[in-house]
Amino acid sequence: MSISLTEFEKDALTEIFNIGMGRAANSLSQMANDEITLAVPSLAVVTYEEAVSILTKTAGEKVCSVTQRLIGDFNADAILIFPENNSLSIVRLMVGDAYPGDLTEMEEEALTEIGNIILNACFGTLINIIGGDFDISLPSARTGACVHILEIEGNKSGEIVMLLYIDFILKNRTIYGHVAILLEGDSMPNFIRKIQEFLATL
Amino acid sequence: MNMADLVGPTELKVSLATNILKVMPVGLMVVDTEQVVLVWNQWMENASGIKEAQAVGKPFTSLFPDIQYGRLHSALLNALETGCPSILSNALNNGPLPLFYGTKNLMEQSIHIVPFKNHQGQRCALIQVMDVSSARKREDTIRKQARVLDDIQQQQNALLHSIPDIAWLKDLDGRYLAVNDKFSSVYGIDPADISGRKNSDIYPESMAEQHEITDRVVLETAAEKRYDESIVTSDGKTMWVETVKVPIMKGDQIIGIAGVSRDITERKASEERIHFLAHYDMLTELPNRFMLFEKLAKLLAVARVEETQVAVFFVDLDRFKYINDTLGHTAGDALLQMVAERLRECSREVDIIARVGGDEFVIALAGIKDHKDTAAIARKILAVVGRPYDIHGELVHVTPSLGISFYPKDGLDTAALIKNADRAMYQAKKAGRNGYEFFREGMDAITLDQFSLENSLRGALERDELELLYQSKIDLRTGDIVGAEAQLRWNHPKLGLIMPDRFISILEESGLIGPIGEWVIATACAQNRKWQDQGLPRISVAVNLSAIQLKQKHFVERLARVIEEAGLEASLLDLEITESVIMHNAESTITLLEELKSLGVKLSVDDFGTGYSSLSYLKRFPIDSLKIDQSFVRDLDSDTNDAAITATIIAIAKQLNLTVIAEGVETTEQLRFLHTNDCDEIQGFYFSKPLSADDFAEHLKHGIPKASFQAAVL
Repeated sequence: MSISLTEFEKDALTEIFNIGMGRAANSLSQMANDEITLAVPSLAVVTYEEAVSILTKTAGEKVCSVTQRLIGDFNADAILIFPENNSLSIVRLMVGDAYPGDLTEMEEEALTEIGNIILNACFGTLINIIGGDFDISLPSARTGACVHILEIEGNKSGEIVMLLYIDFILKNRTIYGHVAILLEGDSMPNFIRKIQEFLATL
Repeated sequence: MNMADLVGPTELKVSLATNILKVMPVGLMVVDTEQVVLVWNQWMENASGIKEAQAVGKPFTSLFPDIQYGRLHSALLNALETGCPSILSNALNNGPLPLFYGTKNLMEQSIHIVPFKNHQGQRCALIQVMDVSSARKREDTIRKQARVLDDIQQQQNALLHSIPDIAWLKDLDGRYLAVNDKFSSVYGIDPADISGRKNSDIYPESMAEQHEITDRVVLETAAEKRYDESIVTSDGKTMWVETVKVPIMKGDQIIGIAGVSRDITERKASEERIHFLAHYDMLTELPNRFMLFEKLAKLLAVARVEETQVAVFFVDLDRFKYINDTLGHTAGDALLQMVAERLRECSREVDIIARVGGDEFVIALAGIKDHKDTAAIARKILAVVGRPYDIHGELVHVTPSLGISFYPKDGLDTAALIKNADRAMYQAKKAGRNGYEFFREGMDAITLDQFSLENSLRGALERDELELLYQSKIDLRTGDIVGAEAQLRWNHPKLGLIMPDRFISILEESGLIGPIGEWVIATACAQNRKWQDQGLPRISVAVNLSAIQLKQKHFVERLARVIEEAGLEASLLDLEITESVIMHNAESTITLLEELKSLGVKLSVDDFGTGYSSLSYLKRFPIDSLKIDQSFVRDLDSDTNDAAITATIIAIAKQLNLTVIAEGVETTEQLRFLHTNDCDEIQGFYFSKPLSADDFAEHLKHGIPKASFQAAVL
């Protein structure tokens, strides 16, 4: 069973997610009343351990996350991850500098919605394009160490993770975030098959 | 029977679901794939003012024509198209739907859009609206309260840190909650590290215990506790603090303890200084009169319980004024310091030594068994204090006089004991200085009546109130009467017979000693001559000389004239001089004694054993006999020390070829001891009390019956 994607498949997926990010950016820009661009510079398929190591390196020990669970043609946990110390910047990005209240009071609520928008954009686009039927859970936010955030359900040791690197870009500020898609058990072949089916229609 | 039997399972479920939707305390709407409203619950009716009947069947976006659906709409489309659920938070969406409570305020909303598929597989969406205004308000209130509490906490911390004293807060279990900067610096603990620590984590054991105890008191009494304590800082310094602990109350419940310790090291030091100034003599650093009374009272309390005796010594330096006047006050002060030091040498830890006046000291000794002990200590003090002092290179001789009183015999309180010791001391002075005296009843009267006694003494000679009594001296080998000691008595017209120890010092101080002393010698000499003229056995008559008499100008010449006038052979006159007088300025005494000796008189050292005789001087003195002090003789049969001293004196006298006489012999045992130890002569009540001249003539005439004498000594 192949657990890896060809370069072509990767390019296709990157493009799909780029479309999604475009939609998410559109939503976010409207809400923020400012131009926000999101980009997916790369996509990698790695093991769980590698994912933890990569995310820890780029996002730091402590991260904020928003998770939504997909159950359907394949099962996956989609997790948006960014450095904890960026979270307030992201919230400020959305509500604007003029917001009079205490940002920390609404931090979790706002982050959850932002994560929801980005994740919905990713999967909404993906589902729109490759088709499929999924039950998708409402988003939930968590803060903690990378290794615990990724450990959604039991031990994921050795499992395959698809990592998207996403840039949040606002004018002179660059905030990095990542989307990790943890494909559960035998979902990886199903996922690849769906990709291949789609590519075959092109 | 249950509901399912009445309406069938499917109907029941729908009915239940509809009713639940209606009454849920959140806004619930369901739209179909075309965004047409299927469900509009009661909550939505109330919040939007749009009735269910007006809403159901209409496109969702048509219900609120005045709003920008924006995000709400795209989220709804996303749900219907792709099945992605959305959350519209209140934070990022300012009231997406025009929902109100009351009439004015736009409701703060949190909207969940959850897609689902109906029985036909068509995607619908459940839109759930939650009013987060009240939740928000509650949270705001809590946050504001928290912030206020935070502010209060910060203010409290600021207040805590601004306190210059050591300050802390503890919970009920004795765990520290907060401490201030001063606390951290004193105990070397980081304030951030204090939380949860207990007394035993911070203080040395004894201090921790003290804190535990006082904490408990505060918790149990719910009252403030204030006390002084000494603490040890982290760098090992001892610090005095005044600590105040108060319970922290919440309503009528104690929830902790607050404490403050103020550094009172300096205050304590000055308090100690003041206490020292108030209780100690600055010059000698000995307790002063005030402290003496305090300490002696405690000593007496113990003695009362333990039924023991306490000896109180009153020590006064002889001729101190003279030293002060001739060598100056600086020398006088130096001398007093040295005397204090020597008194300390003489005493044990439990003893009290105090300076109560210029040259007056009081020593108190507890646990006294008998008076022999005390006499030994008195002699030790006389010896130690009597050693020469090197003051600025000059050797100064000073002797003390000691008066001793005993608790409980001579007084039950400090004042009485000190007063009586003082009186006994005066007695010792009168007895020739450099000696000690035990207090006896009657001493009181002397001091009290000294002035009137002096006045009446002035005319005593003219009024013929003075009389000489004679006490015989017996040769212990033969039983013969070999001498008589003349003793002065004063027959006071009102007070009756007064013994010399009560008026000799008055004679000396008033200068009356001159004429009266001379009268005594003249009378004794004349009397002896008279007895001889009567044909009675040839004996010597002894008279006592005082130090003052010896210092009188032309004393030797005048004495020679008196002897001559009496017509007595000089060798039949025996001059008794006390040991302390003779040893005082021994060098000059030798000259005087030699002059006296040249007259042909006999010389005796009286009260031998009480002063401190140098054997080398004894050898050089032209003396004929030693009279053993009666204090040794008195306890010969009960005190082995006294027996040993007496035997030694006898041996020394033999060695120096001196006649040795024992005074105060009253019992057969004493007599036998002295006989056995080869004492030459004895004097005392055993054979005869002091007698008038006429009675003595009779006594001399008959002598001691040989048979009874033999029986007594063998």
